[in-house]
Amino acid sequence: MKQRLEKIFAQGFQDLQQQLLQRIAASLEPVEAWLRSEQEAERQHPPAPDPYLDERILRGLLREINIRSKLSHAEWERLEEVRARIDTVRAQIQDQAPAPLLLDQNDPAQIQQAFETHYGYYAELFRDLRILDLSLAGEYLPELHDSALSAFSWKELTDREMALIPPLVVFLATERPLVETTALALKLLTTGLPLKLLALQQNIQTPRETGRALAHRFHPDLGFFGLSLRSAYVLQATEDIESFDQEVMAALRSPRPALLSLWDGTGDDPRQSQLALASRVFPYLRYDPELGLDCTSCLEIGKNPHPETAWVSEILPLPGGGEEERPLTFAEFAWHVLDQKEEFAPLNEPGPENPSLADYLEMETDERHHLRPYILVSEAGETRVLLPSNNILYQCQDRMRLWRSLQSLAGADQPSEDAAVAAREDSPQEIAGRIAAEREQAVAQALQTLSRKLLGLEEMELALGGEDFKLDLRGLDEALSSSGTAPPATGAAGPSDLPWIETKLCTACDECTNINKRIFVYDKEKQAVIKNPRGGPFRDIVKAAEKCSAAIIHPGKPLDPKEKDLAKWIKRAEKYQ
Amino acid sequence: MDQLPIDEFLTDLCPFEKQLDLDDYLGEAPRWCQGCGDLGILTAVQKLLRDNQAEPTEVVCVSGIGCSSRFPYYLKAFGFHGIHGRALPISTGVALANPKLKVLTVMGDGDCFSIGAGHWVHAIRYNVNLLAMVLDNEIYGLTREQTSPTTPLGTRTRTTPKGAFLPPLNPLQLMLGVSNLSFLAQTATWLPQHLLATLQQAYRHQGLAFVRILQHCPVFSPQAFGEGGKDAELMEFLYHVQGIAIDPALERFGGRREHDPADLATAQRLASEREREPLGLLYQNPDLPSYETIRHAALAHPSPAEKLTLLNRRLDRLAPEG
Repeated sequence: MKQRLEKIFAQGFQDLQQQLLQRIAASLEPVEAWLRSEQEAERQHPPAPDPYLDERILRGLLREINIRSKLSHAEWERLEEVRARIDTVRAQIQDQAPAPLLLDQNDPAQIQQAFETHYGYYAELFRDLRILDLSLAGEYLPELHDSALSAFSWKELTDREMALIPPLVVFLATERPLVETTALALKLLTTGLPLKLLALQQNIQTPRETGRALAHRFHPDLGFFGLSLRSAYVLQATEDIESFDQEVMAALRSPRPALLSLWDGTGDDPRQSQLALASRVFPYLRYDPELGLDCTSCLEIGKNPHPETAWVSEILPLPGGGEEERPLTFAEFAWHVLDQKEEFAPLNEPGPENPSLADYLEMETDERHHLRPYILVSEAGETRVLLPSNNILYQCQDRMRLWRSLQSLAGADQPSEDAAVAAREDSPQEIAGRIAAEREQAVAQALQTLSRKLLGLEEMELALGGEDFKLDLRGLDEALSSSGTAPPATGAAGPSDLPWIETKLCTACDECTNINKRIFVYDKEKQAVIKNPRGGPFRDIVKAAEKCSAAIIHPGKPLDPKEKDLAKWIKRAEKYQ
Repeated sequence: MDQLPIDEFLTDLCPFEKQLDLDDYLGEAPRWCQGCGDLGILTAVQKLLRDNQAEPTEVVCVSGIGCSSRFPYYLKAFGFHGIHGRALPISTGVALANPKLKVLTVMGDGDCFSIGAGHWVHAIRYNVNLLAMVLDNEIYGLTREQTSPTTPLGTRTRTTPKGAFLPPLNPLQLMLGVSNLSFLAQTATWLPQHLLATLQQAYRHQGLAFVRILQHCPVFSPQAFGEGGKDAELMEFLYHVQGIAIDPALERFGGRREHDPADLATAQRLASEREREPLGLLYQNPDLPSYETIRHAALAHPSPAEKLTLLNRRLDRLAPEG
């Protein structure tokens, strides 16, 4: 990983040299152009002895008019002085391309000192360029600018100027306990310096407590911790994500302090980092505070595999034949990557008290009594059934909590809302096409029913008033009335399948509105109504029905057929229909 | 004089147009647990005040100690979070000092029926003009699960880990035996319309209107009252033309029985049988004078001139002779 980062640093800041030189040239150009023209003129027209028309005097007069007319002698001297300083820096930059300053040591005082030196050098350059620009424009006011620019530091730089300075990158020592690393990161990020902190995570530090202490133990997670700072740019990634190099560069080039937590792993096995990402142990996240005021706008987790689901699954053959879909959790990670084999007990065959780990993690606490979940691992072409220890289970749960928190902060836990938005983005032509097709189908069905009835007249008499003679127009009315903007009916559930509440009986206990405020709201009599059945997943509606102290919520049928674990939630909803 | 558009004048300035709504009675955000019946009672009380267009400045909410006694914080009106068991004496004082105020007293089962039992009996006897509510969930919730006077026999709590040894107190039976009772009703949190209708009737009553509100505590007594009304066999609605109206939507929560609220003997029998919890108006005697009325009639009410004469006479007695 370190080699790859070095390559990124070398390539990523190549253009910086050119940009800096261009910036310097932009300010120096008018002075230099004039100097060049003066030298040129002197070379072409050497001073003539003619006492009546002295070219040098004439040129001097012209110069006075052009530039010097605006400058006093003292000002001209200052200009020359500044120009000389800028020239020196330019030569240095031309000589050696600017590169990020990499610091391997973690003493805050020394880091601060290194920062002041590094940024001080560039701050001085930009101060000189400003003096030059102001002087040439004749806007340099000594009484105003002398004092202001003498105390000039990096704090006065603009975003564009900051972007031209190669950053100072501090490698955080990750071999220490992560709590200490986190504390150091907090200390450095809250100094206000735009430091770029880079933590190369080689391992996941797992607590070894037992019993209650295990559940209460603080599991530090550097990336997630970074979110709490709100004003820092945070990137947590493994090498496997798409355009990793650009992601790292974007973080380094942000004008803000940045925290980069990158998966390094041990050894060369590429599967390690893939598993770290897929098992949600080390999820990808990018938090860019420039993107908005709320967390959902700033936080991006879309580069994780299947960001909308709880787990990523893979199919494994079962020991007794058949296959099973296996979710990748912390347990798989602990077995394969952390090599904590002692935390697992072998099992011949899962019994009724052995649910799969993914199912177990979805259960409520009271459902978990006396259950021991199992996982499947594949080793040397053989699939084994294992029972993870309590320690592993706690950590699985903790990782799940972390991932769910990320999903909800990034707004990725509302797949049905996304689906509705996507449906809304259908073009009017597509909607019109769908309506026409549904209409055609309905007419064809009507004709078919009619002809069938006409063949047996007696039957028709009976059926006209009965259930059979009914066109299935579900969804059509809604689609017709919404031609244009609103989503057409999905077909998964008709209007009668929508959730409903016996509002009159609502006791205003806040249960449902606390579960999902997009679905449930109070009316003006402070009794619950369903505001938007698509405002959240079906599981929220079922949970609300279960929690409702008056038992008046009827969940109906799910509106998003792609929602996870739908069969389970439909079963749980049955009681309340 | 400033000029105003007529609609602005009417909505903002004209006093006749000002209608109080639920938001006008919102206090702090409640900190009760999710699923707690207290939230529904708070809403019902807010609706009660809204329906009667009671100015928040003319209402005083007095409470004792307990979960339910946090009520005054959440209701925008004058409030008095009193001490354990003493909500009723404080309310009596408020009502006597300023009869124009509408006094709402909120207590829990532990607060009223245990430490406050002495005050409870005498407040009923005094029949001061106030609306007293006991939020009965058969447990001490705020102090985390101790046996209260209404905790059923055998219930395991932190104070009775082997199960409560005594059968519970029957508060209805006790109140129906106290002299001078003027209004007693029982309702429940899972019956929002019935709760509001009961409070309405109690609000209109002159004298002490006592309403026992059944509820379960989602944390410590989820099983109370058939898991909060889920068992219709345990409840019975009382209906009568003078009683509390029963919304047809509520019929699935219990049976029905006709009961005349003027009939004290039947009410006492109903309360003592304890087969089913009666829901509705058990007893009301609208003709009983309130304590304020009796006191007012019994005391002399001299005119200002007479008061001055009396005062002078008193002062003259203190003057040195000669």
